Amino acid sequence: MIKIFLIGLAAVAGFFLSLMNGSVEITSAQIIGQVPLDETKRQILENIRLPRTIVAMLVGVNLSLSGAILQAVMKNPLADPHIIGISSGAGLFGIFVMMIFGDAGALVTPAAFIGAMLAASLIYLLAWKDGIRPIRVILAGVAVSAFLGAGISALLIFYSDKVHGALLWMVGGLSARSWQHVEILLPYSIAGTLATFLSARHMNVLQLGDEVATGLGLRVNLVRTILTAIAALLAASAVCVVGLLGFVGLIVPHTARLILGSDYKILLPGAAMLGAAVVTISDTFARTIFSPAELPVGILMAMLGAPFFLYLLRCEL
Amino acid sequence: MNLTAKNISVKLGGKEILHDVNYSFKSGKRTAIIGPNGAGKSTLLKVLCLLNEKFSGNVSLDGKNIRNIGRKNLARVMAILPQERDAPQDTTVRQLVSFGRFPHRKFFSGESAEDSAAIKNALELTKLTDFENRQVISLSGGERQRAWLAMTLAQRPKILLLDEPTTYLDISHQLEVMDIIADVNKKFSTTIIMVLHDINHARLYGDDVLIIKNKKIFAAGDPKTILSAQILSEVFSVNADTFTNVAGDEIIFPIKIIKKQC
Repeated sequence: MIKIFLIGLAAVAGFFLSLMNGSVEITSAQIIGQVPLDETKRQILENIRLPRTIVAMLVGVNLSLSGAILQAVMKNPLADPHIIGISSGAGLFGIFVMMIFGDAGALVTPAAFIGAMLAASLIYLLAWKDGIRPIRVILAGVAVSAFLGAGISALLIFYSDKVHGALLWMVGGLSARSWQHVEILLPYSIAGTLATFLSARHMNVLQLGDEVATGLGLRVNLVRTILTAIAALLAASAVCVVGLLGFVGLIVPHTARLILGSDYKILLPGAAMLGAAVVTISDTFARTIFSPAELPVGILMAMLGAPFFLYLLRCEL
Repeated sequence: MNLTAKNISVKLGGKEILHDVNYSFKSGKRTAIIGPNGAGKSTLLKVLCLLNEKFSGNVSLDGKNIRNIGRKNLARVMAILPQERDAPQDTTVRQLVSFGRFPHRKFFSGESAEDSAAIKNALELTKLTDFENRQVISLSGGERQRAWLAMTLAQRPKILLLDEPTTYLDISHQLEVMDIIADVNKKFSTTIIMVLHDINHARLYGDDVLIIKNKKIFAAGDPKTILSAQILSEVFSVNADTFTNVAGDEIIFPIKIIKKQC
């Protein structure tokens, strides 16, 4: 209980850190309205920092929950949104639109979303044979991702003059994310989080193995299909807004599991809050370390997160 | 509750595993299913509880086709302890046992008084009350088997199916598990259907025995009369001795394999 409270505290801290820090400093007293803000700072806070911070939190929540769901559904520690083709599908479609129409931000988002969902459905169809076996999903995922990855490479080579923008998007970043992105994310976050939390007991039972779960009255194939769809929607909505920020969906659920244990009733809220904390705090660092230059948050997260995760793993085992 | 299998045939990958099996399981009794490896014992058990859905024929529960009952409703009256199972490393005994209440819970509700009572009862029956906060992974083989058994008991089933409940256990833990099963059967008149390998367990703990050989029922009836040295040679191709133990029970002791004549 203390642990989950601390994770919640980290998420709140991340929210305020992200609002306060940047090229212009805003104090916490100014944020909560005790000290009046001048017009410029108010503009920065309301139209730049606040939407960006909310996007960061929602992306963290969506990707972490997606990864946590997939770990339960696939019963595989390597399961994450990459596995079901989210990244490669979003990547191919997003970059295709970027190359053909220039840096048309408005089109990239829906194209990436459609690509992600198409790739996830394709993998699911390929893996279906009298029901879903996790190992078939994982292998089909690897194959489809390799295929789509070849498409991404081909695009990057043919349109090498536009590689920079595509590369930035592939690494994943939060710069210039605004209220319109919050609007895209929010419905998926709310509906997805609700559906996920309601399925906590089903995921707990799923962890006991297919035969035990079936014997306990769980319709394993149906639950797997629905949960995979929820995971795909959560991850696709995040990826189409911030790019291929894949790392969160793998490492955050694992970290939450190492800290909180495997009971999904506790693990899910923990993973969601940890995801929000990790993305907001990482993004704050990413945009202040080399200020005024900005580091894409994906790079910083992988560089700090991977060693931290390895450290946790060593402590546990 | 009456569980009846009618014209059950199972094919897997073009190979027939069960062929036209018919049997009416005795309500409130302990039925042991025995037979050689690959004869189709586990397959029959999985058909009975719909873990295997791909069979032709009909399994009925009090006259109702189990395919039309619904998984959750089925799980409220029938529990199975399969061999293939898994639990996260940090699962405690109590958590594991509480999963047995899954089919009884409503979508939103938490643990009801009835749930808690069923869990407590299952822990008592399996003598695991003192272990309830231990992690399943830290238990010995016998204790772990009892914990999984307790999960199925928390389901409060009318019919309990067990797939080789004593495999991998040492002799004292084998008897412990068999005694718990006999105890549950006596206290709650739970129908027990169990796949066993040990002929003498079938003799001592079974009211009824079903011998499966070559996809079919080879023999069925009272284990005390059916299980003889003669049948062991016919079903398992082994010569056996019989003798009477101190308790007056007849014990069958396999001696050696009968060489096949080519």
